[in-house]
Amino acid sequence: MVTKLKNFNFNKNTKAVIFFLVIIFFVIAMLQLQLGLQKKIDPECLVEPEFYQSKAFNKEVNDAMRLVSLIAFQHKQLDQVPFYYYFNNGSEEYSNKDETDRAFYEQFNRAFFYMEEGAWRDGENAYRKADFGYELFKKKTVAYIAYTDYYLETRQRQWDQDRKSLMPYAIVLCVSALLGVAALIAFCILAVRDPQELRESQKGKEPGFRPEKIHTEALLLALGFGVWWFITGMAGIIGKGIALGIKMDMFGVNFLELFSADNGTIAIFIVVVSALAGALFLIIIYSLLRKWREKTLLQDSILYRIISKLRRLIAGAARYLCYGDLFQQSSYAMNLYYRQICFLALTIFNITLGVYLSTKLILWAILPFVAEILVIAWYTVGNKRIYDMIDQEIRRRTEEQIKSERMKVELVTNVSHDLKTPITSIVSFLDLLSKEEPLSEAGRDYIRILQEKSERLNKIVTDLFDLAKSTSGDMTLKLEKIDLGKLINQTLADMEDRIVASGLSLKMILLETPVYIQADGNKLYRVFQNLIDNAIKYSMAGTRVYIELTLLEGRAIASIKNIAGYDMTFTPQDILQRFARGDLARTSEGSGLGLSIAESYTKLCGGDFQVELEGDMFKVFLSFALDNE
Amino acid sequence: MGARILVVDDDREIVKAIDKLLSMEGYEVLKAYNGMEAIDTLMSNDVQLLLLDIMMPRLDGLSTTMKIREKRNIPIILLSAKSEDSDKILGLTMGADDYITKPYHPQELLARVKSHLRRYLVLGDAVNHLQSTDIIIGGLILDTAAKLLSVDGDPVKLTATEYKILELLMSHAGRVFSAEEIYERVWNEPAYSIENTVMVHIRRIREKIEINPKEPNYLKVVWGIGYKIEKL
Repeated sequence: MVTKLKNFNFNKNTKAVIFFLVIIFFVIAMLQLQLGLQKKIDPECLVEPEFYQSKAFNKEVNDAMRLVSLIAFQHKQLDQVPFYYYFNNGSEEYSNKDETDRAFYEQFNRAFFYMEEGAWRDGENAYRKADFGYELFKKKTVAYIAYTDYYLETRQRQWDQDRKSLMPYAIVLCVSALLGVAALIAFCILAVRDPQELRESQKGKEPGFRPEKIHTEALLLALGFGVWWFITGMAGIIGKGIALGIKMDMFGVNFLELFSADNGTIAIFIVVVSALAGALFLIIIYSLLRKWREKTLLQDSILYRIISKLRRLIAGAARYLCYGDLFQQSSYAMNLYYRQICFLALTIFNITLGVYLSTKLILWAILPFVAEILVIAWYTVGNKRIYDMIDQEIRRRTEEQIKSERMKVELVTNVSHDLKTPITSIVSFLDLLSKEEPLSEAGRDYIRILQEKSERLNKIVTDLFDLAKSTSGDMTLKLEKIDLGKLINQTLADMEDRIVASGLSLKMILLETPVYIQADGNKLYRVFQNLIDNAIKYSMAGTRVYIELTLLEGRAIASIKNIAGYDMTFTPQDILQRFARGDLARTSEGSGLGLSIAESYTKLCGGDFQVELEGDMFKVFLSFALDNE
Repeated sequence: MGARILVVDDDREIVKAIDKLLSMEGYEVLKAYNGMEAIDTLMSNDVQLLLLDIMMPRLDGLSTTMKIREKRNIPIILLSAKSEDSDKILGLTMGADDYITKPYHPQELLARVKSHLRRYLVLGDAVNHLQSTDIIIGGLILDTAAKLLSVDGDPVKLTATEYKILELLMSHAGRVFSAEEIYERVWNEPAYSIENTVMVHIRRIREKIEINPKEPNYLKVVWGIGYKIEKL
C-alpha cells in the first residue's frame, strides 16, 4: 500500500515535471526562433555555406532577369543595380556599362546570363541555372547580365558573418526542440502507462477538471486547428524569410508592427503565448492518449453516440417489426423468426420488382407475382411444420406435468393412508385397553391422555391431507350459488355449543338481503369454521368477536375481527405459513393448519384472503365476487 | 345375539382390534385379510354382516363388494382411510350400505354395526307390515298416521316441532329447504332472523336419528342454502 502510494506520487510528480519541461523547451525554442528572426537574417546561411549557390542568390538573379526584361516595356535605364547589364531589342539599347560586346560580360563567367531566341540562358560556366525566361520577346532581342567577382566575394563575406551571428540561436533552437520532442514522447508514454491507477486517482482525489471527459471530436478539432496554425505559421516565417526577406512574423502576426514594442515586451509576449499554447496542446494530447488507452476514444465521441443511438433506434424498430427478441428462447422460435425475415425480404423484393416491371414490361410482371405465390407457399408450409412440432412439444410437456401432478396427489394419498392405518390401530386398542379390568385410576388417566393425543394426531393428519389436496389442485369443487350471509349464520348456529362454552360474545353485522356468491358450500363452511374456531381459541377472555358482512364495489367482504389474548409478534405473512401458531409455545389445541386451509379453500372458491394486524386486533378479510344473476 | 360378522382388512392388528370389540358385544367374528379370502369365507359360511377395508392386496374392497353383491344382499360396511366425499359416493354406489373412515371411533363402529344388523335381521320382516302412510328412508321409518318415528326399528321420541320438520324434509327427500321455508311451513309465521332457531331443532333431531351427529347420514346441512334429508 505504501509503496503503491509512493509509486503513484512519483508517477504524478514525474508527469508534472515532464509536462513543464515540454513547455519550457517549447518556449525556449520559440523564443530563440523569434530572436533569430529579429536579426533579419536569411536562415539559409545556416545550411548553405556558398552564397552563389544559395537560393537567395538564385532569387536575386531571377529578379535581375525580370528587371532587365522589363526594360522592353518600360523603356528606361535601370539604376542602382548590383550587376552589369546590357539590353538591345533592335530599336532600343540600354546598359549601365557602355559596353555592347558580349565578351566583356562573358568575362565574369561565374555569374553571366544572356538572352537568346527570346529566352534567358546561363553562361557556359555559370554557377546558377537560370529558371527565369520569357518566350515572348522578339527573337532578335539581346540581353546580358553579369555579377562581378568582387560583388560575389563581398556577399560571401556577409553570408559567412550572418551565419556566425545566427548560429547560436539555431543551435539552442535545435537542442531545445529536440529536448522538447523527447520530453513530449516521455510525457505520452507516462500518459498511457497504468490507466487503472490514474482512473482511481481521478475518481478519488481530483474531482474537478478531467480532460479525458472532453468529447473526442472537440479534442481532435482543437488539435487539428492548433497543428494547422503552427505549421502554417512556421511555414510562413521560413518561407517568407527565404523568399522575400525577413519579416517579424510569427503565427501569421507581425508582432513588431502590431505593438511597435521593444524586444523585451515581445519576448514576454512570446513566452506567455507559447507556454499557453503548449499547455493546451499537451492537455489535448494527454486526453486523447488516455482515451485511447482506456478504449473510450470511440465512446466519448459525439458522432459515436449519435450513431449508436441511431442504431438502437433502428434495432428497436426492427424488433418491433419482427419480434426477434421474443423468438430467441427456443430453436423452433428462431426457425420461425428467420423464415419470417426471409419472407419479408423476399416479399419486399417481389413487390418492388413487380412494380418496376409493370411500368416497363407488363407481361414480365407476372414473374414476381408467381414468385410471391411460391414464397407464400414456402412460408406457410415451413411454419406449419414448426407449429406442429411446437404443438407436439406442448402436448408432451402437459402430459408430463399432469403425470407428475397425479403422482404428487397419489403420494399425498398414500402417505395419508399409511399414517391413518397405524392411528386406527392406536385408537382401537386404546379403546379396548380402556375396557380392561382391573385398571388403576392412574392407568385410566394415561389412557385418556393417549386418546386425546391420538385424536389430535388424527386431526393434524386429516388437515394436512386436506391442505395438500387443495394446494395440489386435485380437489373437486362443487360450485353453486350460495348465500354467504346464510352460510355464516349456519356455521355460527352449528358451532353454538363451542361459542357459548368459550364465554366470548359474538357480534354479527350482517345484511338484510341475501348475498349470493359462487362457491363450494362445504369448503366455505370449513373456512368459516376454522376462522371462528381460531377466534374462539386465541381471543382474550371476555372480549367480543366481530363478524361483519358488507358489499364493496361488486364484491362481498366478510371480516372476522378479534382481540388476541397473547402478544402477536408475527406478521400476516408469517401466520399464513403452514403449521404457524400465534402462540409460539404451541400450548393450545390445533394443527396449526387452520388458517392455511382457510386461505387455500377461499382461493379455491375464487375468493381473496387477507390477514391484517392492528395492535392486538387480529383481522381476517374474505372477499368474493357477487353472483347477481 | 350371536350374529356372524366377517371382518376383512390387510392390517392384522386392526382386524384383531375389531374382533375383540365385536366379540365383547357377543358377536361371532370371522376374519379375512384380502378380498379373495373374504369371498371364500363368505361362500362357506353363513355371514350376516361384512366389514370391508378398501385398500387391500389381491382384490380390493370395491371389487369385492361388487362380486358379493352379485349373489348376496347382506349389509356391507366399508372401512377406509380415504375420506374424500368422492370415495364415499363411489363406495356406496358400488353397493355398500355404509362407509366409515379410518381412524374410526370404536363406539361409532359398534353403533353402525348394530344399526345395520337390526335393519337387516329385524326389519326384514317389518317391511312387510308397512302401511302406505309410512315414509321410509334408510333405517328411518316415519309413521305419518301415528306420528311416530323409528330408527333401525327403535322408536324415537320427537317433539311436535321436530316431527313437523322431519315430516316436511322426509316427505320431500333430497329437496333443500331454506331455514325461512322451514320456519314458515312449520311455525306458520313469517320468518325473521330464524337461522338459529331452525338450526337448534335440526341439531336436536340429528342427535336423535344420527349415529354420529357430526357426520350425519340422513339430515344434512347444505351450506349457504339450507337443509335436506338425503334420498337413500
